Amino acid sequence: MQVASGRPFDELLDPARRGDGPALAELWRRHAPAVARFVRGAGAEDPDAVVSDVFLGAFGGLARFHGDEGGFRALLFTIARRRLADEARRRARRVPTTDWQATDRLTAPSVETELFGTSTDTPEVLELVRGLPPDQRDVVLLRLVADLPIATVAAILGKRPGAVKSLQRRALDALRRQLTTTSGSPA
Amino acid sequence: MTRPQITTERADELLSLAAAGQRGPEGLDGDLVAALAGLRADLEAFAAPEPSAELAALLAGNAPAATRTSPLGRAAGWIAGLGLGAKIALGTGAAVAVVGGVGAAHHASLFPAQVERFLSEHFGHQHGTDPAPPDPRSSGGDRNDTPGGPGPSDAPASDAADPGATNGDGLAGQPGHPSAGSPVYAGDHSGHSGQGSAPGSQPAAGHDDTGGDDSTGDDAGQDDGQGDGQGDGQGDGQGDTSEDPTDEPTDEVSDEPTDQPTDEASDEPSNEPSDHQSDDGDPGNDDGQDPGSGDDGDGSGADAPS
Repeated sequence: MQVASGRPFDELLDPARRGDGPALAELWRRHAPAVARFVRGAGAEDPDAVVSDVFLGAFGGLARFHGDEGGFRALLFTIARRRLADEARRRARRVPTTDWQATDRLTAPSVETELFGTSTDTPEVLELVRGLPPDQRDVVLLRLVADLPIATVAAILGKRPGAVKSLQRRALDALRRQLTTTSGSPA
Repeated sequence: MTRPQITTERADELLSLAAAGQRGPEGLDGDLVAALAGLRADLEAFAAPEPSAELAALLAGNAPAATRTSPLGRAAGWIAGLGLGAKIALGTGAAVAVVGGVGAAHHASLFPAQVERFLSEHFGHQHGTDPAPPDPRSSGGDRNDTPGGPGPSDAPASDAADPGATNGDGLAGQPGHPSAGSPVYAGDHSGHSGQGSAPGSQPAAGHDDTGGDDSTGDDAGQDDGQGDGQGDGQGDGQGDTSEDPTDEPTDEVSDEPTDQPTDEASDEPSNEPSDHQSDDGDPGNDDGQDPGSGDDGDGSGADAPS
């Protein structure tokens, strides 16, 4: 888990509950990038809007929140999962349309990839992760991009740690199997 | 060639390696870790998210308008709400006042002008509004309907003032007069007169009690209880005038001049009272213009020679 720098979380919590702007901005700076990675990895259409909605919900519930920074982080991802589920339901009810820009963005390599060549198959891996069942996808993303331990992931998903480990194992097994099939390696 | 299953501990180890951006072992697991590490790097390469306008205002220390209102805005809202409430209250009160006023005005205009007039025309002084002058028509009707009904205080006044009217109403003295034969009318008549008459009101106390009781007959129990009790009590306190109606009403009525046309009316058909009056008042016309007398004269002249 990333260690937040700057003021201790306990010193930020009370001012943030009173609506102190700098305290809220500090919480945003510390946790917004991880939440953004998670919602992007999960395939949100407007990741920034979802992240803003998540923080608005979290800041609105600060008066009832009791815990440390890990608990606040878990709260953020819990809200993010619910927002993603809501968006998925809305998307399912919507008439399907062809969005050529989104398709182009998925298939085209990022600027960083073109410049530094860090990964040439990221879009394919991202599609594979998004193709996983929601629980497996979330476990992989929460463990990979949010650096959350098993216990915290289990709390976010509302499952036991053993169930999270099982989901994690099945997700990696499916990804490896699909990667092998895609690359033509013998299974 | 079968692929070995990833164990739970191995999966956790591989994810930890990918999250740390490290290379995995050689082989399939190494490629998987490399792919996941590349995915994480790509997701981290995105720029920091931009807060929405509402969240940006919150982060800047300014609450959004949707969730927080300034004190001035709240005060304005309260004032507007109070003003609206006052308008509603005033409108409701005004509407109620208008309706009440219209109703009162309608009542005030309707009751004296129509209802009260109707009552005065049909019931007259029996409601107690006009105790001094008794209604000659009602008194005559009652008196004529009932042989022993009206008292002397009522009979002389009505007869002296308007003998003709009394005679006209005297037709009601016939057994079949509708006003006299109505037990309801008679009952109301006696009840109102007995209660509404002032202590000094002799006519109302006297004739109504007896007249009502005698004329109705069917409603004797109710009328007697109201009329007799009050009529007697008032009459005793006022002396001779009030004692007369209850003692001998029949004799005094029969002695008055109004009994004469009444007797005649009883002999004649009930719907021709005016003919009797005109005949009695002008006998000379009858003699001079009567064709029957001329015929008699002609006849006598013709017989004389024979």
